[in-house]
Amino acid sequence: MDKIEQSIIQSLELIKREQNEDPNENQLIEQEDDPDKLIKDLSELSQSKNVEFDFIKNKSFLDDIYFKNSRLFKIGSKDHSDFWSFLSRYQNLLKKKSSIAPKNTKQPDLNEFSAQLKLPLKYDKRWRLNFVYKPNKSEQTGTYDSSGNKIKFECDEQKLREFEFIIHLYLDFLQKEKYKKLKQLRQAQANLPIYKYQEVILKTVKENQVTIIAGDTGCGKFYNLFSTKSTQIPRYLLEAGFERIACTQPRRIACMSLAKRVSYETLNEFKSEVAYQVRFDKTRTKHTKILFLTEGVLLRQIQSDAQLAQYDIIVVDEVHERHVFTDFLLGILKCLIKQRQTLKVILMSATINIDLFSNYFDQCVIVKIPGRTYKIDVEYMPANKEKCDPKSKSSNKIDPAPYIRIMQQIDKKYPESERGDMLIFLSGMTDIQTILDAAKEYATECKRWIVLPLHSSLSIEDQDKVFDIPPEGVRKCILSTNIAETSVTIDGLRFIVDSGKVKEISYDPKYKMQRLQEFWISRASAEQRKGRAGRTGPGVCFRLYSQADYNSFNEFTTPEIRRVPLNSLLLQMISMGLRDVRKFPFVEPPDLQSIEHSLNYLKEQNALNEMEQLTPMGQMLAELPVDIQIGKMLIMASIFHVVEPIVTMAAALSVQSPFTSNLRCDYESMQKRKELISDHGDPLTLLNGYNEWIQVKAANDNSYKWCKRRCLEEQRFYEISKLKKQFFELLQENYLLRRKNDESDVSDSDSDESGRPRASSSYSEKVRKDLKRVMAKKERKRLLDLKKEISSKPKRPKVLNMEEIELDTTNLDESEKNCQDIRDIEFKLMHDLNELQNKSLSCKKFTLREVNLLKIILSCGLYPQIAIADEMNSYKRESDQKFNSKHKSFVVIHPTSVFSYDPDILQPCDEDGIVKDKLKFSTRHQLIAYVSLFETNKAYFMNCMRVPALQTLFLYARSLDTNGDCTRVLCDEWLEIRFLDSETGQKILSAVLYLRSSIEKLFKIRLEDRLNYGSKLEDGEEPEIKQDSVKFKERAKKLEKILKKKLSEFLDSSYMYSIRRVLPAEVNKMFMKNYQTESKSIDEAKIQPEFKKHLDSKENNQNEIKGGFKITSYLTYNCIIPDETLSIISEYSGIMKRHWKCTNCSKEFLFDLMERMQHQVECQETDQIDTSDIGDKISKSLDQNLYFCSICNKNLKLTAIEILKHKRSHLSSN
Amino acid sequence: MNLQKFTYDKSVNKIKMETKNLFKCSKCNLNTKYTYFGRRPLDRYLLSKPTEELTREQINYLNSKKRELVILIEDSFVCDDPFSQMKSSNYLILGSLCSQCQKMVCSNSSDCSLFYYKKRFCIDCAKKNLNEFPAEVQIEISKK
Repeated sequence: MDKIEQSIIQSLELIKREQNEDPNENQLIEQEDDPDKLIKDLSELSQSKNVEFDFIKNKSFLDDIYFKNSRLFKIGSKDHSDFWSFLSRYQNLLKKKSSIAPKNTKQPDLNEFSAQLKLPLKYDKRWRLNFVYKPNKSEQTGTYDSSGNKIKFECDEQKLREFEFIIHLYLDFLQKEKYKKLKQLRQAQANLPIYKYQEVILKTVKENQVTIIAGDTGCGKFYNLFSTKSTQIPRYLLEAGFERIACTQPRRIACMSLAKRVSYETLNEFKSEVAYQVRFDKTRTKHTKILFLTEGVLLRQIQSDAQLAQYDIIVVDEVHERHVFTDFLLGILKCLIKQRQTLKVILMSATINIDLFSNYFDQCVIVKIPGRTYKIDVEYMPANKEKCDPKSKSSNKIDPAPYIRIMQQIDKKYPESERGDMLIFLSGMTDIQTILDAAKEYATECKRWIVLPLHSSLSIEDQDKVFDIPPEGVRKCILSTNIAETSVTIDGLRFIVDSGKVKEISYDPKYKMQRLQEFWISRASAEQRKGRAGRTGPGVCFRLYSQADYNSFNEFTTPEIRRVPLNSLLLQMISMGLRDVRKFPFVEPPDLQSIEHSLNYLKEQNALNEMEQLTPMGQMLAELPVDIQIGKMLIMASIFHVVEPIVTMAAALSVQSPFTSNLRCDYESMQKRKELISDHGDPLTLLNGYNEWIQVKAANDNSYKWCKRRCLEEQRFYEISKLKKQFFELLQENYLLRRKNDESDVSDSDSDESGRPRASSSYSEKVRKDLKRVMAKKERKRLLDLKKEISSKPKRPKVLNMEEIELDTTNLDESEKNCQDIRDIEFKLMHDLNELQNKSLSCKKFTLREVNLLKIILSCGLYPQIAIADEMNSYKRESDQKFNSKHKSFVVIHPTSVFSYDPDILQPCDEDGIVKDKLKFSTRHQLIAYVSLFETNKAYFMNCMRVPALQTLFLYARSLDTNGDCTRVLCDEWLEIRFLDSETGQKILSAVLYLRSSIEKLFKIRLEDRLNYGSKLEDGEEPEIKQDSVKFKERAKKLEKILKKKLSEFLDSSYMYSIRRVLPAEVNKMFMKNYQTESKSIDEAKIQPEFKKHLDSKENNQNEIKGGFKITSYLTYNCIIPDETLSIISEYSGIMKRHWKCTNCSKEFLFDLMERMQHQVECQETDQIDTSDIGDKISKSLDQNLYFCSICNKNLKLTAIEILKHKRSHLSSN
Repeated sequence: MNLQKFTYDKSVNKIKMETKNLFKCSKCNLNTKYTYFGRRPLDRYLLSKPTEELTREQINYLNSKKRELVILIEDSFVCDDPFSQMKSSNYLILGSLCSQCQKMVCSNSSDCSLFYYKKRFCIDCAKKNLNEFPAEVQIEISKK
């Protein structure tokens, strides 16, 4: 209080000083603030006597005089138009008043004043004004009407005084209105249950380093969206003087809406004191005091600010939800609070398992905030087991009888007039469908129910229906998955039916498989479900299980960290510099096995080396906050400069597919869909679909209808667009992609070739830009208007129509159409549609070669998620096609996949095949690469793509093991490829050695390039183009070009080979090591002495487990036992020394096969970037054929032309 | 409540806890921060700065007679209008001091205070001096 008074005194003094000091040039001249003078001003105003006078008629004059130079009422502004409408309302009011005859009471005299306070005794409205408004008047000029006649100005001085009085009234009115709004807000805040705890909370926070604030969920949620904790506690902290507050949220959308809400509540709506920061978006400025951010963003900030010195207090919200990143963040904070004693941490949780957190933070203080809940009666209604058992054995279907019985019971017991809806929690979609059918039957019979499903795969419009209101006398019955447990909050519920079951996704690290399984729920979530009823009044909860069942439930739901793959988390942990991820102090640590599997996966993906340190690839992946798979695709795409199509596919694979299951489509839409389908697989089909959609949008056709006709979910396309944009930004942020303005520097080689018309002259460019800006402005205005229109209509839920529910709403009603429009305009504003269209056009017609390159880039991310078709497949539509991955057999392709309705695409072509030793030799063996393995009632491959078997395996396998003559290659120890002759195998392996090392080389160059570019940009330097960096880039460009060419040649190449799945039991027997030890004595004779000598000489490089020799990290030569069926000669071919010319260094050697390969590896390593003309050489090598020259008696490896030359050389010498 | 293990040295932690410039109504307890105390809400940005910091143009502007003005008859606590984007021209008068007891009161709520001819009266002081007011105001006061 002292301080406040002090500051008041200071302010007073300031004003006094202003008034007292001499009017100096640089001083404020004394202002006319004398109350007496002001009162005189006021008294000059006059109240209207003649109410009939029409100011509106003279509006343009009055505007001219009063508002031309006005700040408060700028002509054209909302305040200005509001004033005029106020004026007409005021005049109407006066008219009404004047019609009531004024009472003629005795009025005191004008000059009579009260005894002590000297107040005038004659009441005048003017004396109630505490201010004087002095307009900045300007001279009134003549105004003309449409026919050019001067309009007569009708206001005299008296009228102007009246007008000024109305302005005064309006200003006063405005102040009162604003104040009312403020007061209402403050009152609402004070009425919250948490308000009483404000002091306690602040005191605890001030006195302790860690505080837990626990409040019941479902109690006093604010506007149904956020818990009061989330909005009020940041406000309390801010008002208590804390600055630099970080509030984390698990969800991005919550950050944004909370920032908006809290800034409103703290009266900062139009300032940046309260802001948010999420992955791709932030409103944070240097004035920001409260920052809402996702846990992911905060974790990323730790990477550059290890102590989180930028914050004084960190609030972690929704800790009870136990998301992976929440748990991780808590672990970090636990370490951090010991290092930074001044850092404060607040955990906000529902009252679930709070002791766990309290114990974790050394018994820290808990502040409990009881909520406002109504009483809920619980009825246990266990299903009659004896009756159920025989039935349930025959089918897995859920029995709808108990649910219908509850509906009947409610109808009997509660009168129609009592409102209250019902929510049924079921485990999954199939159960929902079963109950839906039965309940609808009952509903049509009794006409007292409307039955609605609710689950995440419903369209947005259908989901929104659950918020609508049923007509009088009818109840809503919502059948929901556990989505309604926390994520969706529905009001007006009175009855809860809890099946006690939940389907949860668990992760099996061994198969890298996600599994959707049905479980009993935990007691915590049973309580949560129950609590959904008591939000607006007392309720009833029917539990379809017994009290004993309830007691046997787990206390809490398994935290996410024990249910999901840990790949990204571990990668991030390692990139943050945690030395041993296994020892990290998690709240509840994940399975050690799961950690090991993930570490292994990261090694497989080349993100970690054997020492579990980050590789350059890992470093890059850690910087991209996306899945490892997606991250790898993006990186590869940027290296090969095919960003556009890959980003589209990566985005499409990250959201739910717009292609709804074909089971739910009619024949016609399936036919229409056909043109979008790519027989290469789902990723390319998604690409086609998206590009088509962009074309429809660009042509300004109704894209919504276009989607409907093809049974596509348009919302998903919008999501893809958004995600795509984000991916692009991500790539630019990480310098994997140049920003547009310096694109010319490293222009897409693709775009150059396609010959897209670049803006030729800067002038036309400018005109186009201006035009675009004008258009954008227009659109933005339309968007604003539309949004206003929607929000101006009170967002009253629609009343449900009993009949309409059945029909698919083909004709949209007004508001839905508006929503469509908003999405459409927002989309157009966010994206440059022309650019998108051009890009999509360039993606449209890919050559097979380009498709192959795309597939190889995608496979880079997907590998080792590949599968081989089962030999017994029929490739008929009626029967399931089985596929086997390395660890999981007999998996089918998900019904949303293109391969599931066109299985014959995957049928191997036998036309050019040869069958030898029961093995099919063909040039066109295929595998499928899949994005995920998902098990519900069956195991499914999701989002599949067919890939050429040999090429994919040889490029990405972690291990390639060959036999002595390279006719057998075992890939990743589960797929064996055999060639018909030794020459083919050798040729391919040599090509693979080159390709794999070149890809790595290119990757390294790009990485260095990126780092240079990045550091320069960060230093604020223009990335200048230095002489040597140009050379560097030139080389990289060349290498890329060559590599691209080589790669596509390799992909096009057609060799005869067979492919076979090798079962684990057999694999061990195939290795030389075992073979040697087991059969050494017996087969001593078989191993030639020469060969043995060879073995001894290269002792160092021996592979200890498999036998054979390690040529590179992935290639092991001669570790597969020789094939008995092959002739002795071919066995020797491997060790036979031959003349060979290295294509790289152009030297000739007399080498055996292994020496040759070794030389190749070494040669490429020494020759770092000097690739200037390798390309030409290598391109030859693939065309080269073995040629035995009878004249010089030598085996030579030559191209056709070289053979001719060689022959000619003999001729000429002769 | 559990005992706190982590009571840290308070001298280490110097978080600013002052709540300066807080307006709090003595009647309804409404509290919020004000940014200006004085009579010229429209010029509050310039006037809340020390005169030395003002530029010549700004002083000239403040001295010019020909400009739009809102002059309060009482010194008031003013903040930016929190519900509007146009910050400078949209102000909100929170309250002022009662002319009799010098307590802070809301200006815009008839529950807390009233203004009549040059002076602000908190509702208590108005009641005390009921007879001084004209009949119309007396009726108003006695309704509270």
